[in-house]
Amino acid sequence: MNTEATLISAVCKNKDISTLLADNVDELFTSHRDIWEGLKSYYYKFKAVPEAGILLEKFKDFEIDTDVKAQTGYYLDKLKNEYLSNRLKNIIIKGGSMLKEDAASRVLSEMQAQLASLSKFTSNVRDLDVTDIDAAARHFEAVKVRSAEMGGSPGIKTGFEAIDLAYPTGMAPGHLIVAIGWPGRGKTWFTSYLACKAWEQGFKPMIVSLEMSPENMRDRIYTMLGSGLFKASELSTGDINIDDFRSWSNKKFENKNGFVLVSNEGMAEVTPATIQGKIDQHKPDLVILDYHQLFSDNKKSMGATERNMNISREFKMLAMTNNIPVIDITAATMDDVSDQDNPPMLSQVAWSKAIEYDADMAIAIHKYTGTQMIEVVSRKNRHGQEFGMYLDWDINRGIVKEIYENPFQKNES
Amino acid sequence: MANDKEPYVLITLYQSLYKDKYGRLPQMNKFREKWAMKDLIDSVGIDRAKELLIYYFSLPKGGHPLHFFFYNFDRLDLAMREVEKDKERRRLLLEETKHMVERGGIE
Repeated sequence: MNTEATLISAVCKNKDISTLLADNVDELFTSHRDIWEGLKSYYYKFKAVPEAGILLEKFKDFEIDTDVKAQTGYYLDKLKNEYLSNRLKNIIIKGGSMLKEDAASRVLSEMQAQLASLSKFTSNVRDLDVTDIDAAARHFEAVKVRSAEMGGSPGIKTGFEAIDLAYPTGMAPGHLIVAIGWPGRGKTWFTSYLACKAWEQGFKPMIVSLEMSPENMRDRIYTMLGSGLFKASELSTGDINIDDFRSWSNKKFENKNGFVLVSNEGMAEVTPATIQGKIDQHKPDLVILDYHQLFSDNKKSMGATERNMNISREFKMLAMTNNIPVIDITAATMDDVSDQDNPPMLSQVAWSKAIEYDADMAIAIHKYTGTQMIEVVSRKNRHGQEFGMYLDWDINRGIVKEIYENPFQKNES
Repeated sequence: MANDKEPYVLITLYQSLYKDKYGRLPQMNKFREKWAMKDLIDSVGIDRAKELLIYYFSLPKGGHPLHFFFYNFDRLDLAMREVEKDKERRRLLLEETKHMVERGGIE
């Protein structure tokens, strides 16, 4: 018996079309698409699921499965599995034949895009019963244990006192943190600092930089981890004592987790599906994506707004499905009536609505030109209180100090 | 209503800001532009018009054409209000953050 026919028969028998309507099932129907569409239109019109016999009146070749015994969800899973197997076979066969004529990297990219489109049939929604007090108590116990293990917060601390107080969960599993700023105003420095602090706490960060070479990024990391021992300018010219560097790094990196830098060398397209591959490979505790506008979405959408909104949602999915915090660095959108002399507001990011929906935390970072002052201000904090502060940051030496007064106030008054 | 001198005050301010930015005076027909300046003053007042001109020159708009300013002064006004509102919000947040750190946590 055809599985599509069995599933439709099950819906008619069990009267639970909602199982299918709640899922993305249209694509699953191929041989029986017309019958599925007919069933839906009947339901939308009469607000009831018809008997299979009613469908037979309209679709003469419909073979009703009279042996249906299980729940509709069972047959839906069966159909999904068949569909996925067929699609996977097609993708693999097509990929194989493409390899004969095309570059391996392009074939891989094409396959990744196609595979990503299948993920909607494998991801599951999660239900939680608010009245299940035992489950809630177990959850609180687990959070308490985790918090105790991690120094009072269930997530990774940022290392900035003000942020850690205002964001008591820390960078917790599943959180999407968006760092916004005008181009060249310290976003990458700030987020790299968060990565360093995470690493120093024993976590494994992974920075995916599509903007900088891994060597440049490594220089920055050494500058920050050195806290004044090395100057960024000296590292960039190789003007350091290699023996001192070795001796420092032996102590600093001994028995510590990895610290992964990923770069596309400015060439290949990188999608959230690519990042998922890197997460599977390196198993990081924190992922930093630098920066949003340089990524492609899984569908490779052409329109900028659609692409950026998709990326925002897909980054959130990365955080949720891998149960890790993800930091999305994004540049504010320049227009002809906004100055760039202040930290950007959320409204100055073109896809601000997506950030409002997807982000757990949004932070604006703004380095004031000609100074070493960086203003950090929260634009959204779903898990605590809004905050604002300045950082007196000697970027060249990697030394940072938090300031809770406006350092420009004297100049302004 | 703007008096006869006020539009010329704005034109002179525009010329001065332009010269500071580009090192030369802009080419313009003062007599023709004074009518647009007069409309601008009637809409927002002379003081706000001056602030908007100064704000306009703080933007990275290439050439700072006068006509762009005339056609977009309402958008500039809105953007400037947003920035002013946000400055005040950030000032308050800074104070609150300071107190939060002194207290050692959220109240």
